[in-house]
Amino acid sequence: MRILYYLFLLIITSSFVQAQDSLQTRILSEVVIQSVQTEEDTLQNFYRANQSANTEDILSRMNGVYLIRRSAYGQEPVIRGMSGGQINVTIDGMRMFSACTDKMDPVTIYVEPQNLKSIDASLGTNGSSMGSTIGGSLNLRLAEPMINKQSITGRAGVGYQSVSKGVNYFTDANFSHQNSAYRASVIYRKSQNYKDGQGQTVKFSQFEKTNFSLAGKWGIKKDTLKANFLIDEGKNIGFPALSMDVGKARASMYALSYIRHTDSGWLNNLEAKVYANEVYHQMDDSQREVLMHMDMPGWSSTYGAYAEAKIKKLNNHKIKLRSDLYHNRVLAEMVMYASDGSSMYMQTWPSSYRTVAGFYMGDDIKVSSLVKVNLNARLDVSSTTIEEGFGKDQLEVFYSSFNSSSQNLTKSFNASISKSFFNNFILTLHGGYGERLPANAELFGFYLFNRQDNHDYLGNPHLKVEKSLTSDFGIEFFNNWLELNSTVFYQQNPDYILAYVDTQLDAMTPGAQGVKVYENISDARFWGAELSALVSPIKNIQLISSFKGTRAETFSGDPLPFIPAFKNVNSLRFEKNKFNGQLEWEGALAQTQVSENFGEQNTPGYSIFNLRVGYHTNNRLGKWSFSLGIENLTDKYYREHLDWGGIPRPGRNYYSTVEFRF
Amino acid sequence: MKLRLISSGIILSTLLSLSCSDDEAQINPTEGLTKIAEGVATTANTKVEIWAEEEELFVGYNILYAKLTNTTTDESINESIVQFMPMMSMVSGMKHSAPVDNPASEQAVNTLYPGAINFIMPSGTDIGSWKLKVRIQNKAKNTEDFVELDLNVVTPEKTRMHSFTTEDGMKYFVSYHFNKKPKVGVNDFEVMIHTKQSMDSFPPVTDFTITMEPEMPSMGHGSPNNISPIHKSNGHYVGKVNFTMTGDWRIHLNLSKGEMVKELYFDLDI
Repeated sequence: MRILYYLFLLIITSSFVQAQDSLQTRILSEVVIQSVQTEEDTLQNFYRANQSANTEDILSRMNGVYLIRRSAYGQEPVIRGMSGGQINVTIDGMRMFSACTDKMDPVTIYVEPQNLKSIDASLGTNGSSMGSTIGGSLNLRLAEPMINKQSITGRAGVGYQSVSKGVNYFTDANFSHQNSAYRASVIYRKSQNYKDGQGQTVKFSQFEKTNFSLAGKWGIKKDTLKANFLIDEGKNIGFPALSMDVGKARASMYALSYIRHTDSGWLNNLEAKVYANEVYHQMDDSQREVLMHMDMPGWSSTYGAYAEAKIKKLNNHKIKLRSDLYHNRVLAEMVMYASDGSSMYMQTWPSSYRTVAGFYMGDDIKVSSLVKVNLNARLDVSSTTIEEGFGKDQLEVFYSSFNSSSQNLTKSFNASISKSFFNNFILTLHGGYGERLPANAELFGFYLFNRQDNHDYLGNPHLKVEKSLTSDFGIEFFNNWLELNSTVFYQQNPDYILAYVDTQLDAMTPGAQGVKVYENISDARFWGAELSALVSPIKNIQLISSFKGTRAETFSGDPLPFIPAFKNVNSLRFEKNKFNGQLEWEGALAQTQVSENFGEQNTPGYSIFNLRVGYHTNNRLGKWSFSLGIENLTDKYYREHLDWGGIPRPGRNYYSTVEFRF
Repeated sequence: MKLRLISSGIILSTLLSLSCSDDEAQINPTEGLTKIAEGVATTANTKVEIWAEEEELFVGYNILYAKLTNTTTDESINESIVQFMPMMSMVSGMKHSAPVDNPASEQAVNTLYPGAINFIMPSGTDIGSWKLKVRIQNKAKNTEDFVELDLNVVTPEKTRMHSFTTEDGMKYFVSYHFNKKPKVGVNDFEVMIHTKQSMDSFPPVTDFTITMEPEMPSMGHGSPNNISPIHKSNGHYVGKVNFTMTGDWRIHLNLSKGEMVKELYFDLDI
């Protein structure tokens, strides 16, 4: 990895020097594939206008997307009640996997809003373009350097949050030449423990992180070469809902891609990328009062490549192809220090690796001016191997015979049809089938303690792939001041992976009640709806209202755990000249469909208000933006259903941000 | 997939290059063993060496290997009867032997004759001294000879042999052995039970029932799916013990024979 890092720096610096030396004057216009401004983009832009919003705030407001919260930092995305191995999270199309056995490090944390270009979300089995999935996919696209004559542009800013005495410094700069550009960004965030709505300090909710990214882009004739490097380092990240915190976490990403913009031949816009990323994560409990201290380091590294292209338009078909390959390797260890006697060691994620190669093909067919059909299919070949030695020996205590290596073929097909009516309505019907591989923790996890239900979890190497049949029905209505979008969905997941208590086994973690083992249950069902409205009666006012809800249960009618409550967010935005103001009302219904088996408790409903104002002005130096706001205006004591351990959300928070652009 | 192919290719070629150079060197049969004692049986022109699996002999079940060499030709003798006869001469003047598993075959395995002795007490200036008489007999040549070797037996840090006397006056010796160094995972585990018939007769006991339960005393948990040792032959009870992590483990044994029940444990550092 280190070699890659130096190689990368070398490429960047040498091309930088070269670019400066060259006297070429050929102007390369950047080719941006303009996609239609979707409603999702509107939503994202709307919420990103608030400068204090972090990536998680943006995610939490997206249709069908929810977050599992274990701390003030590092929330795990959920799509329609599905998370972890059920969904695909990619960064610029790159696969990346957590190194923490307790899911403290979802890969979304590595993309700060300053580095985020946009988030592509696909719900259900339709999200298979980046990898086989049943729950959906999120692709976080990274900001790119902009090629636009000889110039230097950039910004710098600082933000403050009163509830956690949190500071946020950010800066980025874009260096552009005739046919190359570079972008660098640094973000530093530090927060103390925050206070809840009753004025109580939530212990172990502090965090500190630094994020640094470097990107280069070079025009080579009509083609583009891009390189990305990102490093993210977190330390002293508290997890109030868990029994351990993060001492240190470090992630790095490297990518090199080549884009060929051709309109001759049968392939258009070919993009090929090679990438590598690595995560090191260290959980510890040195700040906690515990009977026995322990360390839990974890490692995850992924290498991959993909190529995608559009086939030259044939009649009314628009065909997209993608083939990808990745190799991921993980290991997580646990060392316990007994007050007397030797220290104890085990591999909580035994050393294992997985290689997946896949092929995706999608076809947009314009049947008539009113009817569109989309068909897509994906096939993945995968091999998962637990290494011989310590980790496998451990698991053999429980499973006397299992193969170190298993191969799978995962398949996915989707078909959707949409038809316009009366120039104002679009009806969409989607049906699909998808499969997903069991996650490493579900296959080989070894006595992973879950604080929420107070059980140790054991993997099951005999798990089958989980399947899903998805159906969605959507109605869209739009006129020149209103856009309404509603979707209902029903999903049935055969061979759903869920953990159940094995009474034969004794817990390992002191105080744990028992051991749960993953198994495939015959099926689980998910259904729900999303509704969003965008109203803009006059030019200066915009109202966005979104409503989302999911229900899920097993074949026998038991509620599934971690299913969010019905949630509603309404934002009214006013903009005039240099001033903007925004009032938000966010609420959720009570969640009483809870899984007691997983230690869930009913969550009461809540309703909170946020108020934000902003002002921007130009002077001879550049553009200045100021924003001020109050979140949780009424200082409400509340939590959401996906917040672990009954930990309350922050109380009233005053924030301010100053940003300078040049 | 490709990465794996490449890496396995690298591993294969490395292995091939290694194995080529290895061909010339002969495998040393006493690799990893420690020479405990040696002596020469002058009549039979035979040098007798005793090798052990651990660096020292200890109170408990010791696997011992005899290695016989013709002193004139310096060649290994691979066919012989080998018998171990240990004898403890106590300071008090008493003498006794110990439970023994003599080499089972007259054919050496890779030039070694494997057997075992369960030393039931340590040696020391204020305790007594162990002597091992090794009897060798060549049937073909009809020669018979022996050597007498001094042994040093220490008390191990963690008890590896228990003895107890029952109400009927019988004395039992319980020891254990792992064929391979115990590790995290599933381990073959053997318990040996011997009794004392006389000062130089310690026959195996074959009719105990054993239930076994491993435990981590510092954690208060055990491990699942263990197989309690059952008698196989010659006082050896064979089972499987599972360790789920490294650290201090305690193997609890419940021994019963008719009405008699005895509970004891062995501590191990895995």
